[in-house]
Amino acid sequence: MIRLVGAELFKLRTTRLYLGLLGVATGLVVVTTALYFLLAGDANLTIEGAAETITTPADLRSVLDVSGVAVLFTLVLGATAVSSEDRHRTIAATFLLTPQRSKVVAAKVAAYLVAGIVFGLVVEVAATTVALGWLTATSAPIPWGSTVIAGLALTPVATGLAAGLGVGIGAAIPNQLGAVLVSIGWVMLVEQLIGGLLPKVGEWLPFAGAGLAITGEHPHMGTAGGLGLFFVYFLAVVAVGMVVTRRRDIA
Amino acid sequence: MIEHVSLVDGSGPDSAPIFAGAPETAPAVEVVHLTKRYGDTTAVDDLSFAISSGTIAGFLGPNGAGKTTTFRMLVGLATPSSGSARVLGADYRSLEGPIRRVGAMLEVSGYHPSRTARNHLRLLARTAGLPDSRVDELLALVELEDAADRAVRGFSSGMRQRLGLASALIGDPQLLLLDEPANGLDPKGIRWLRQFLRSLAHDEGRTVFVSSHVLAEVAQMVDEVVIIDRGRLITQGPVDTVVAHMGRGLVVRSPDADRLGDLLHAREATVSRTGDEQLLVSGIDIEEVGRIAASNGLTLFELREEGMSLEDTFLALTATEEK
Repeated sequence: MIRLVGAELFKLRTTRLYLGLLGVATGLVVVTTALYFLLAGDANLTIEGAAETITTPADLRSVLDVSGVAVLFTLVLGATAVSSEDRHRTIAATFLLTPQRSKVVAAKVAAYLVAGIVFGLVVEVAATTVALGWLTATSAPIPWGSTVIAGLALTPVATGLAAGLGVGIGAAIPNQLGAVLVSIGWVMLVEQLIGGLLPKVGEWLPFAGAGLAITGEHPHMGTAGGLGLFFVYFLAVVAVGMVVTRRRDIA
Repeated sequence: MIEHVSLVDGSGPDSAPIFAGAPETAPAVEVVHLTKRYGDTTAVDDLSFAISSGTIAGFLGPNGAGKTTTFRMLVGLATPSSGSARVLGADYRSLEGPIRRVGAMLEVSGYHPSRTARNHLRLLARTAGLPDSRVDELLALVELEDAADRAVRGFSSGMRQRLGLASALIGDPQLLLLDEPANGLDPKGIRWLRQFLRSLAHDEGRTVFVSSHVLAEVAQMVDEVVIIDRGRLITQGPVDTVVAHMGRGLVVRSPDADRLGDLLHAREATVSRTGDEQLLVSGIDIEEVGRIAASNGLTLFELREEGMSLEDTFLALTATEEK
């Protein structure tokens, strides 16, 4: 199994998608964080103005939470794990090497969990560097606190789990475009609509619901509950992906 | 309409024949009553045959005959609707370390375009627990050393085929399943492939089961053939036996080839169109053909007996022509 996980990480290293997505996500987070400091605060766009708005740990966390956008990126990354192999028809070689297809999916999930955690760490290091650098440059105090630390710890966990859940989506929908569109559409459209129209239901959805819980804004659940809720969805989607992968013919 | 008539009915339920001289051990490839349906389409239809170990066998049939589907079922990429497809006496999915026993090069296989040839092979080697040195050996064997560090997207079809062969050989398997390996090769490449496969089978003692829709590509190197058409077994056996079974053929040239073909077909002859006005006919006497033509007022430009080559036999067995 360790060999299979290693092979999946080797696949990621020898193609450009991972670094490409990581580059875009990091750039996005750096620009967003910088824009916050440029545009927040007073209307004169002084660099001190924004720093003055960050006085509590909760303020700092809300700025750093921009790293959470990485979850969408790792979800899409995971969705390509199986579907990209279908697209390039490398899936046949993968299953010739390891005919036990559930082991292949499990290895991909494990590899993408690791890749997703690293992805989240890189992105939040970028956001944190910009934020702390700005505060330091303006000689503003840095309002550390447990909520900031918790936020920093949770982001890589969320990006890792999202990548694994994405693997399950891609295994269930082997068409690459289909898997990516479903992933993005679910987060950006379906959950937004359900959350808006049926907020009681939205509280229990994997991204909106668990997201609220993880950021401490859920009416019924705390952080641990949010992670647990997301983990249940993760297991369910991966299980569906495994069943579909085991049953289908490779064309 | 001239339809092909099978002279050899190998579709009997218990046939699963093993070629003469096969050892008592399990056949290298064994297909028994294999059927694969996709909705209303039957891609493989109650197919049975076996390939003994240590031979090089051709799997022949026109495009769409069911060869690739059969290969996919042999290596567990597709599940049979009924029947069984076994390699080395077992279901592929149950083999321990299958790539070390069976190497497959399938039309359905591809490469990630941005991965280099070396990394493609490294990936296979690492997954199978083989050292990277095996990659270098194979790159040399298929003469891809100079292109090893180039992305596969820039490869010609011939280079891709060589990389496919290297992939199939990575585990040093005793059985090789090669699906249309000559596709996309130029004549020089086909000659290289022929020598390469002959060496794998005859010098190294591997079993090679190689498919093609162009008989000339494999005719010179195979010991045995399995011929299928529209998912069904047409004939099988050693090349000499298959040709001998067909007997001598008749070359008939007539401006009324269509009408004559229908008349001969009605007499249960095997008829295939080999030219504008030319038919290849077997299963009927030359005198009888002459009589039929005369009694129906049909002009004959040519009527002669000719020993049938494997190519003629293949065409006769699989050709279907419509007016």
